[in-house]
Amino acid sequence: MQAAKIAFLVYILGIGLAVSGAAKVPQAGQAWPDTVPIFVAGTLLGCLGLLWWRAGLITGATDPAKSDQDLADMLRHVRDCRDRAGNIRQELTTLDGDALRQKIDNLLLDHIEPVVENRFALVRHYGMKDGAEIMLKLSLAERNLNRVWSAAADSCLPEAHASFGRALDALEQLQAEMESGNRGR
Amino acid sequence: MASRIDPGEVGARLAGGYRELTVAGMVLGLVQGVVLNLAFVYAALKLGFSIAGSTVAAIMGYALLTGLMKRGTSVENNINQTIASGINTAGTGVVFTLPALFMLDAKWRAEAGIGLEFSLWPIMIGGVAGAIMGTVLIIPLRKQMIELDRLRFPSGIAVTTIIRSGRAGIDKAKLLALGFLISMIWKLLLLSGWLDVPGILEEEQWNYGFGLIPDYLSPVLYLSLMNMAAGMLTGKGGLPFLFGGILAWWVVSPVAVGAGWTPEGVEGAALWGYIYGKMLRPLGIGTLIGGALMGVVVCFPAIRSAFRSLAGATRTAALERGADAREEMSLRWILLGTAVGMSLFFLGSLASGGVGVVEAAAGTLVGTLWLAVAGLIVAQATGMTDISPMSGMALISVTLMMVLYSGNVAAAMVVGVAVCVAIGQGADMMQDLKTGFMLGARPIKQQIVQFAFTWIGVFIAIGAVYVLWTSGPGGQGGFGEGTPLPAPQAGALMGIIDAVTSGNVPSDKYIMGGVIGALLGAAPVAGLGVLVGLAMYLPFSITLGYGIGCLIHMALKKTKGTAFCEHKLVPFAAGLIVGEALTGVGHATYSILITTLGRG
Repeated sequence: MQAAKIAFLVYILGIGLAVSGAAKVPQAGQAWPDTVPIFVAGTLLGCLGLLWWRAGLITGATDPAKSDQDLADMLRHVRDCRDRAGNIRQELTTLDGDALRQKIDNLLLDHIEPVVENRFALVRHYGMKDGAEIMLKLSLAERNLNRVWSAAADSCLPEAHASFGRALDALEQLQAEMESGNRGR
Repeated sequence: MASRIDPGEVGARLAGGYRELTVAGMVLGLVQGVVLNLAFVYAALKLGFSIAGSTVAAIMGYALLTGLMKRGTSVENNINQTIASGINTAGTGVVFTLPALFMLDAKWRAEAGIGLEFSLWPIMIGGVAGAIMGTVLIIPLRKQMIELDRLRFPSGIAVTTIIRSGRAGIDKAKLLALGFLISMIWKLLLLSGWLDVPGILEEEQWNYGFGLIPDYLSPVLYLSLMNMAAGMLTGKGGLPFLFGGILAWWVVSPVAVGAGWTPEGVEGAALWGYIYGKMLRPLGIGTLIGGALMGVVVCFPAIRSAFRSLAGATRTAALERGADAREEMSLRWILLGTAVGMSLFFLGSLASGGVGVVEAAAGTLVGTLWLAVAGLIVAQATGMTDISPMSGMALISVTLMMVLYSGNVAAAMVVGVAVCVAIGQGADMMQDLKTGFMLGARPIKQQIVQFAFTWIGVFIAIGAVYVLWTSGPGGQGGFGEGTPLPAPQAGALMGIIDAVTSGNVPSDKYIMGGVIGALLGAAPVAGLGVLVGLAMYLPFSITLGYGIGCLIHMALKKTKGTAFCEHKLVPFAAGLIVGEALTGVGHATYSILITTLGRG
């Protein structure tokens, strides 16, 4: 952790030096200022700090205990969200617009929001490509839940119910993708 | 493109389904877009800035579709505001660039007897190309910016809050109204000048230096609640913007002064102006470009996934029928749009005079690539901070094209107009798509109407600029310095064209800034290059106000929790944004009326 902080400071120092070196206006008739060496030194220092910083993150991401805990938390949110959505579907026809919106608000806040907030850990664990696929599935579920909310608020319950079905499908696919991706590792 | 709208589907919706893409929503959006376009073209020539108009359109949509017709839905109002703001924003791209051409023509005629030979047709063709390309560019980036990067788009959130107001419960509506009132009263107080104290509070800015802190540290806070509210909606993710401002003004600026890099004898506000105009602003433009490009490189696997998803949607759509089966406009349409846009781009360049086929083809290629980069930068900057660096991008566009077209101003301006229209469209549409995401709208329907309607704004704005110019004495000089319509943005662009003509371009700053931006963009912090670049490009007073908003969000989240922020802070901050935006519109209208009556 200490090394990561030092790497970050080296990076910031490099950026500061590079910006300062680049800021001076060239003398009349010159294309470049005489502070270019400061800019170059700052850029090199920044590169060094960046590599160190990124290396520290990779080490952190491959820390099995931390990574497993992050993933377990997110999987729990997705499973809970799908389970609660499944329960809502059972009583969907008995819910009025206000009650349905309240349940959607709770799903979004309790389960979708924490996964979104922790999305960088998702990308670190699954990699950029698979992480992006998972996020796109999550977004599809979220957008359909938002549509349920809007349709319920607009007193168009058939559309709310249809959108809810699409959201639940997306949540099931999301859970399957996260679990299969996890087994593959 | 309008033929894509299935009358049968519209009919089914009108008959009692969930209303989304309806005739009523489209007509209302078209009418509002035309009116807003005309009003804001005039306002931009007078005041130097324009307003997106989404908030006005959403409120009118709520009043007319839901209040009057009693049938309107949230997603239908979203279509209305998408069309209205699209047509209006196309006008912004025109009004920031085209007037410079008229003014330069008059200036050169007065100075040397020979003006600029130009026709409006190539400009119109270029503008339509920009409207198409801006939309084409943004469709594949929607997933990246909204679903993966989760950019906040504060104005998009504010519009969502308006559309949902009345449906989201009385508590949220009250908070929205409270924020609106506070912001409106505060803005009116600032505009009235009653709070002004010379040297301390002027032009809506508070100078907290009190003569003790030197001007080169920029001890000024912009007292805009809208700016602060944008930070409140963003939270921790916006902090690098504040960091960039601190680096620029509390580190680099004193280093420059201490090391004697500033001219002797230049002090106070003039010293601030030198550091900002000659050092930090051009460096910021370079950093923005480098940061955006590196962002594409770093996120390439995710962008590829988004494209694959589009291609997948194309395949799925071929198997399923009906607009509801598709979520996103297919890759085939995007490629067709790109081809049409580039062809118009080429024709516009060729028709501008003095440009050969090879030059026009090179200009089209470079212009398209630059348009994509500039569109990306503006969409990212708007998504993260609600601030659009459009004037900086116009500057680079015209510089680039004047070099490519060997100083042919008229031809360079065709590309300038196209790029400005495109980047304005891109940022506006991404805001609208954010609103759409939060409402659960179908992106494809917003994309269809954006294609079908926004180009209209180019013709309206060009017509309005032409009419205003020819309304002057002797059929010209209707705007510009010394008239009631000073056209400050066009004046600034004229200055840039003069600087390019005399070979005075700060290319060292652009190049070194680009390297710094790339270094920042490669960091494992989302959007770091763009945010720091934007902070150097803008005055620190804006960055500081926004940063304070971010800190308020973080403090509230820590003490009160996420739910408090989502249910209390978001509607309140949205109210602050809407209150200031509408008061600004009202004040602009009032100023124009006063001027018109005064002239009468």
